[in-house]
Amino acid sequence: MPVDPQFRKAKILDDGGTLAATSDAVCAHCGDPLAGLKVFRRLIGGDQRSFCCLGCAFIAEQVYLAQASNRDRAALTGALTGRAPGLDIAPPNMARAQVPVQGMVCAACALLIEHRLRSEPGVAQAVVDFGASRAYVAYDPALTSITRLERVIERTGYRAGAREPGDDTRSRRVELLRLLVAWLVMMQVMMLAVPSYLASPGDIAPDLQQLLRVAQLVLTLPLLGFAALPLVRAAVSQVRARAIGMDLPIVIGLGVAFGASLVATVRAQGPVYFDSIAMFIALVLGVRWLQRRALEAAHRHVEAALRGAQIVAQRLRGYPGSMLTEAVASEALVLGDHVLVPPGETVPADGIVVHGASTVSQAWLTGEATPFELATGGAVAAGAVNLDQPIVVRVERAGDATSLAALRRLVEDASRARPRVVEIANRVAVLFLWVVLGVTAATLAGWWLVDPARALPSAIAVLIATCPCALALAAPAALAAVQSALARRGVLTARIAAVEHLARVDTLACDKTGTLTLPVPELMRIVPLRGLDATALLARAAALEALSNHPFARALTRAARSAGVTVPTIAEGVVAPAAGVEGIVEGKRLRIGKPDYALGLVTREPLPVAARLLKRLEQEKLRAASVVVLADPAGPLALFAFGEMCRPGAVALVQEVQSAGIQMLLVSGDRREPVERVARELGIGAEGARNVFALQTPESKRQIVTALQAQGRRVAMLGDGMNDAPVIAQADVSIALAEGATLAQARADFIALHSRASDVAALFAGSRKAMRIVRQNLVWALGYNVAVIPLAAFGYLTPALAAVGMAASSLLVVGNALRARSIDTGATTE
Amino acid sequence: MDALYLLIPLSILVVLGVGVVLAWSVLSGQFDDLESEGRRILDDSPPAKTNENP
Repeated sequence: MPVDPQFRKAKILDDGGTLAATSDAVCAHCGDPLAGLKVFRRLIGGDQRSFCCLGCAFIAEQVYLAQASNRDRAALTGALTGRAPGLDIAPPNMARAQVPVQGMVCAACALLIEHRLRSEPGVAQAVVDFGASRAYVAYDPALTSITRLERVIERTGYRAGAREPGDDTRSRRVELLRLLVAWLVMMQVMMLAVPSYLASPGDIAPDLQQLLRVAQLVLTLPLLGFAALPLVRAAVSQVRARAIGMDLPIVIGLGVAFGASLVATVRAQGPVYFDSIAMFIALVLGVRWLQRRALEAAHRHVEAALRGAQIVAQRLRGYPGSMLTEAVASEALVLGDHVLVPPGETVPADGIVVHGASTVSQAWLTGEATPFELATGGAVAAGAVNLDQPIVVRVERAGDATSLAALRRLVEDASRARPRVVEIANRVAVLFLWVVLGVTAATLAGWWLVDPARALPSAIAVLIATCPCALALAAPAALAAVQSALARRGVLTARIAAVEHLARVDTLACDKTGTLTLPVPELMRIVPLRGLDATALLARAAALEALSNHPFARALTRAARSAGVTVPTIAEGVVAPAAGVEGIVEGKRLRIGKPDYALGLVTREPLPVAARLLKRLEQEKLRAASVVVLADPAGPLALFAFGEMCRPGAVALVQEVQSAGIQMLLVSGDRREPVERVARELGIGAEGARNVFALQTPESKRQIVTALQAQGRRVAMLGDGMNDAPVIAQADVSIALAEGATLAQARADFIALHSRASDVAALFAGSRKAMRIVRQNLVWALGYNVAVIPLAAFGYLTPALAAVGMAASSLLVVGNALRARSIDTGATTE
Repeated sequence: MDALYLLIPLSILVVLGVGVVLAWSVLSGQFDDLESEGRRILDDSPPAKTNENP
């Protein structure tokens, strides 16, 4: 983005940093004049800019970072797929910003703010995340500004902008207090309401009855004035924004019930409905509290993982003159720095290798965990793990500009869409409101003609009976219940809408490496070649491989340790990068590694030896497997074949998923043999090979998913969540098995923290159960409301009975929703 | 039954009192963290010398 001339003007200020401005300089963010103000300066994108307040400075920084990462993400996705794969990429010249929003009470508020932001000129995209209390906006800086967007949010009835520290805890405490007050009052009001339900007319003295009414009224006042305030506020802002949601009909119903009760209390006769009001408010607040807590827990986990993923870089200060390193945070690196990346460590920034060669794993970017070789001059991305040899990398892009940072940002973008069921309930609410108001008016008019004395009670009965309380609770209560049940198992829900999508999935595409199989290779077989003892060969191989950091080397040493062999000492050990290890073991010079490298030690005519080895590999059906050769100068000694072990529980997962009628696909970037072996072991694709796809790139995986979707299938993607950005974006739902370091890069709708296959089965079972319950609830709530309208309108239902019915309906719906808290997963047990 | 004319207003006063105590305890942060307090007794490290306001 070209630097605005205003920014340059602000630079003329003196160097004190906090002194008064004397010129016509303006704030680089909001454009207010700076004259006479304390100026805040920030270095943004290489330019020093001045701001009127800390808020403007902070926001300008965020905007800059968001723009940088957005460009980066676009480039990255473009490079991966050749075109945009459905990720939200803002059009060029668009700026991206995150605006914290305070005061949202439910997902409908988020929808409302989105709606208002989108209708603002210059806004290309607006998504509001209720769980994270944030608005994500893509806008054209030429047409609008952050300050203007914030004002839009404020006008809609919410607070926007950076929050005060502590504001968050305070609002959480107030929310809790509202909940506790609601339940306390609810219990008391119930107690006072019971006598009038139990007593037959005339049992209670009239003045005692009046005392009970007044007592209930006094107790209900703090409930409406304090506990139900968020509901009332939401309804008011819905009216003001002319975007009717569920809250308005509810508040109207509550208001009418309260008004009628108030009149009855003042006139000292007639029924009161304070108990229904109290119970409903307590239930709504309870459900919202649960839902909020489940979402917050998910966000906390992801944020904690992001903080834990801070990478420490070894910066070479005097390179190439000296190799002295200093430890700095990877964020502190700048363009042109040189960093040393020792084996086993993570590359801290995108860059070019200027010294050394090694094997690195870029699993999070390229797909499969197969390491690739990196020579001097090669490009390497931040987040890649160096496996072999120390390398020196010149930083090309650092900090928030790296591809890693761009991917991380996607985690934040995760929980945006709202469940369709909640939106449908909200849309129905508008229609509902008009129907109810119409029926009420008709009732009032009809009875006025027939019997004016019964007009008002009947109209009130209609309004109370049709209060869509159960409808409002139907979907959120069940979704909150299943979310908390999943969170207890360690499965985080990053996007609530995904529960609904998952329940309708009929195809599950699985990644192989790290998903159905354990993420590290294991030694599968030893083939001794010259009639030698396998254990002795394993011991010698382990002695050599102890020097290397390669995954195969580690698998070999692990195997030697678990076999209990004593590993001999090694002399003159040399590690050849990306090839193998050479050394003297038990007095003999040995090499282990890739076939070409190991045979390089052989002194007598090498070609026939290699040909014989090839033949042997063919015989053992190992030609395509991952094989490491141990050789001495006389020829090869042994072959070590490596492969992947299936994850515990993977077989049960496949069985359960397939028995639920979901088609299983195995989609892997690995070679055909190992993929088919794993498929056989797990029982995937019994009816033909059309379920197993080997040698896939991220893009071809995406095409497979697209093709299935074109056939009308709903596809879920199960992976380790780090790679395959295009597939994850294309699939209807994504599930990631992520633990430890990989959690930081995991971006999926669901994240299984313990990487247990049984958790995935539970996820399927839970989402289906939750959606079944949601459907039952919606049918019940709508059916009940529709059924009671004629009863109330024709005077068969007194307002008191209507209130009891409304409360019972809400209780039934919540009780039904709580069933989603227990997830039965067929055969699997923990 | 006459006792009710005294007891019901009294019970409302008690509820209001409970509400005030509840408000004080919630707003002073006593319910902010319900998990770690229970585990503190298992923590062997010596307690901090001064107990500053959170």
